[in-house]
Amino acid sequence: MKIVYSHLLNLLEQKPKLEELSELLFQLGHEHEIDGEVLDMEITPNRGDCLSLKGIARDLNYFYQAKELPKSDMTLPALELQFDNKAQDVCPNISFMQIEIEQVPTKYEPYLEAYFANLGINKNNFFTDISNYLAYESGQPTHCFDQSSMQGHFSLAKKKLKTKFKTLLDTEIELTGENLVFSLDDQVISLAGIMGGASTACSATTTQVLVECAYFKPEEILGKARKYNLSSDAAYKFERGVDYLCQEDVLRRFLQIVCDHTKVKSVSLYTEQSKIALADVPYDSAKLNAVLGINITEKEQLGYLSALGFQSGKNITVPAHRSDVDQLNDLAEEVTRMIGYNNIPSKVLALPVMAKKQQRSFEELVGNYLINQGCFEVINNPFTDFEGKEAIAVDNPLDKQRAMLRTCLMNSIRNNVAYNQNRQKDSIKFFEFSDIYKTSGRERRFALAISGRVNKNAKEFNTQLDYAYLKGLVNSICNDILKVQPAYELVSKRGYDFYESLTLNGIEIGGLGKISKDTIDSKVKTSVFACELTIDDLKVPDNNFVPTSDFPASYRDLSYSLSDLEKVGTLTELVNNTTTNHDLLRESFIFDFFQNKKLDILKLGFRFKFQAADKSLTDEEIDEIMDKLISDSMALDGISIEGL
Amino acid sequence: MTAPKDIFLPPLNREIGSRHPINQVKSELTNLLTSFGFCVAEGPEVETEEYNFDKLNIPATHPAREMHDTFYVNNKTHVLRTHTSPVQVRTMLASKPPIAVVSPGKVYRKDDDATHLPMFHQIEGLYVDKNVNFAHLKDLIYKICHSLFGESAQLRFRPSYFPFTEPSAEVDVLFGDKWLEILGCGVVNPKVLDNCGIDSQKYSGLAFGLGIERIAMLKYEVKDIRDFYKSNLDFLRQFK
Repeated sequence: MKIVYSHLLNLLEQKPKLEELSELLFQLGHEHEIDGEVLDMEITPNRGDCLSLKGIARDLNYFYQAKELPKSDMTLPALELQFDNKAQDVCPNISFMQIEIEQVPTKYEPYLEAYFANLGINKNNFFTDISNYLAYESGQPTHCFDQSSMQGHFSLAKKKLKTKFKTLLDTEIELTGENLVFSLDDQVISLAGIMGGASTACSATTTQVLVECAYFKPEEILGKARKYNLSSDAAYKFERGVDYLCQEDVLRRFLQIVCDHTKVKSVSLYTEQSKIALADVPYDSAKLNAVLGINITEKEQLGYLSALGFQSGKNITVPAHRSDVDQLNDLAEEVTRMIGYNNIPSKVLALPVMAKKQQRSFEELVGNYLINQGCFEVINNPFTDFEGKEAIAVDNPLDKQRAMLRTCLMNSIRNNVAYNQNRQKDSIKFFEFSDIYKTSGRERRFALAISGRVNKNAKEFNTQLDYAYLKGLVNSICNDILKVQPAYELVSKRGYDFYESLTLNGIEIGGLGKISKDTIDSKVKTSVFACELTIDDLKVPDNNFVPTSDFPASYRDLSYSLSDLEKVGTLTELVNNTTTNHDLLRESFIFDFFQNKKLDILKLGFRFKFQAADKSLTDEEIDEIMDKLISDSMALDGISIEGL
Repeated sequence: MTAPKDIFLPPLNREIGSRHPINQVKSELTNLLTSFGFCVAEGPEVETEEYNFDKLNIPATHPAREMHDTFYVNNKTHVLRTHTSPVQVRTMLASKPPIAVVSPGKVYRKDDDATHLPMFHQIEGLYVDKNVNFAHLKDLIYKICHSLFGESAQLRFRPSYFPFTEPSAEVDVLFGDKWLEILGCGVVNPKVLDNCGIDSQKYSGLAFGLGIERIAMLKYEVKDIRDFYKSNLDFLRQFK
């Protein structure tokens, strides 16, 4: 809302400088920008009462004394209006004033002229111009019907409609659904509280006007202007709440402005008012101080409130323009605004210390590990166009491409890889943690994708990130962080050239594989390997200290020849099981892997570490375990040890 | 002395990766607030209207509940949470004061331009106990802002409007000659306490919320919020 500094001064007894006024407006919660004399105000949605010069002046009353602008005190005869209000539940208070003037004025008084000139607003016609100005001055919308066009049964009602309606701006809209409308017989003449119609609009020659001034409940107006794509200042004000008792006063001010410009031939007033009682708020000075953590006197509090129009008695009576106030905390906010939020001294807050068990977080440990391996974390939004069986649909999406919630992380992280491949990034290692939401519920997921060169150094630049690299990362997460041996099983999965499911402690939690190239929107041919796991139930065990041994360790190596690559898994499983089952066999790992497809050579070297906690091991003790391992492995098909 | 040949070998540099900058800022804020005594609480992003709006004193007629501001899902039975405040509702319903929680997480609003995204991150805090007041809130906000922007940071408290706090404030911090809005806060609206099964005659509370992207944009001087979510390696590499 834009207001002009000098216009505001007309409603204040004291005349603060613009800078001082600006500072005080910020203190009162009215954020704004200044452009010359114009203050572009951002009024919070609860303060519909401040959407006018009068409203702002009222808020400044404590500091600069607001003054009332003159309104007509003429004795007004009753208007014999055949008006049928069938919507009293949403429009309890409504008044009409019928005015006939001798002639339309040719020029405006300086205050009215300044409104159009200073704010760059186009004039329309005499009565509509007053109506627009009055909304700016008082905050109360009014609507002017050309009296000569008001023939027929005049009513206000909520109607289910499907009809064309031409607004006073000459735009045609189609009214649908239920609308609150003014009608003459069956013809809609105004979309109540939003915009009047062309058929009854005033013109430059109108001399007889029926001015409508009403209180419409905000919930009735809310969203209607947007529904019909109408820019309506009236709707904006009604949505935020207007003074429900001001109708007659506003019409008297309307009449005064008319009288300032031309001679009135006749005037009469029609009023319906069923919402009258002012709201009360229980008041307790000590409790108000307690909300704020200050200690000011009741007199001071009431002084602030009284300046804002609140009346004190047993309770505090709320003025009709403050529909946002209904409890003690609201009054406390009013007092705080008057004092200034910056002027409330702070008090030391010491939160009670609550016992907290520090738990090792899977996500933190995995994240740190992957970062050390050169991986970057990504965050993706959940919107997708993929309509999976379990996908949740967004009822009001931004567009068709974002109409569903993703049911996995893989599509997003695959797109992240493609985005970077298409920008010539040749070493890509991404991971993401996120919730996903399906019709069956929420799951916490982890995804990891790699593609391109291992690293930018002399040894690893020419080595490509491959499935073994990915599986190594996943194995390390399982073995070193979760302390669980993973089990893999080759299964077919859509979108992957090959895919292994991953099982931990007997529960399948996801898998990993090579993503099919045709699913990646990239011209680069480099392979992409990825894994996705459900991690809700993964718990990082506490590190239990095991005393280290000071006795010497012994190492043994075994070099196997394998008939084909598939034997690697079988042999590794045997070695892992043997390691698990023998306390003295502390560690085993593959230290050598050699493959020459042309010569049909495939070799795998294992190293075994033996150590006892309480003694030096003898060769016999070690050989017993090694012999058993050798005989078990030799029993496997396609596996041999050179020299044996 | 003859230099050993080893020192001339090309070093095997290995790049380290990084957390996403938004999660870095989220962690920094979470660590800061937990150091003050807050516990971390998390909750679902697909929420009921009851927890996202009703219990927070956001009436059915509030503009925030319109289809152009809030994402509705599952045939309008649920919403994508518009703030992390429903986590506070869940916490209040499940526990008794004193309560001191922070809830970091993703939130959703129906916006998409250079300064707004349909998904962004917030961290909100709630403290409910006996005799908690606005002066305490100011102390906490000073501590948060001074920790984030330095002891000499100048703050400005402005009245604002949030249905779930009363009085409500927005806090600006002075950067150069410009005040920038940093967070929203207030005394918990007694109606919200009552909605969540806490006797507002006996207890009061304070609450605050920060937009994590906003803090990250200030900290890293990122001008376009969309850069955070392109997953461009050249961008991500700058936050190691």
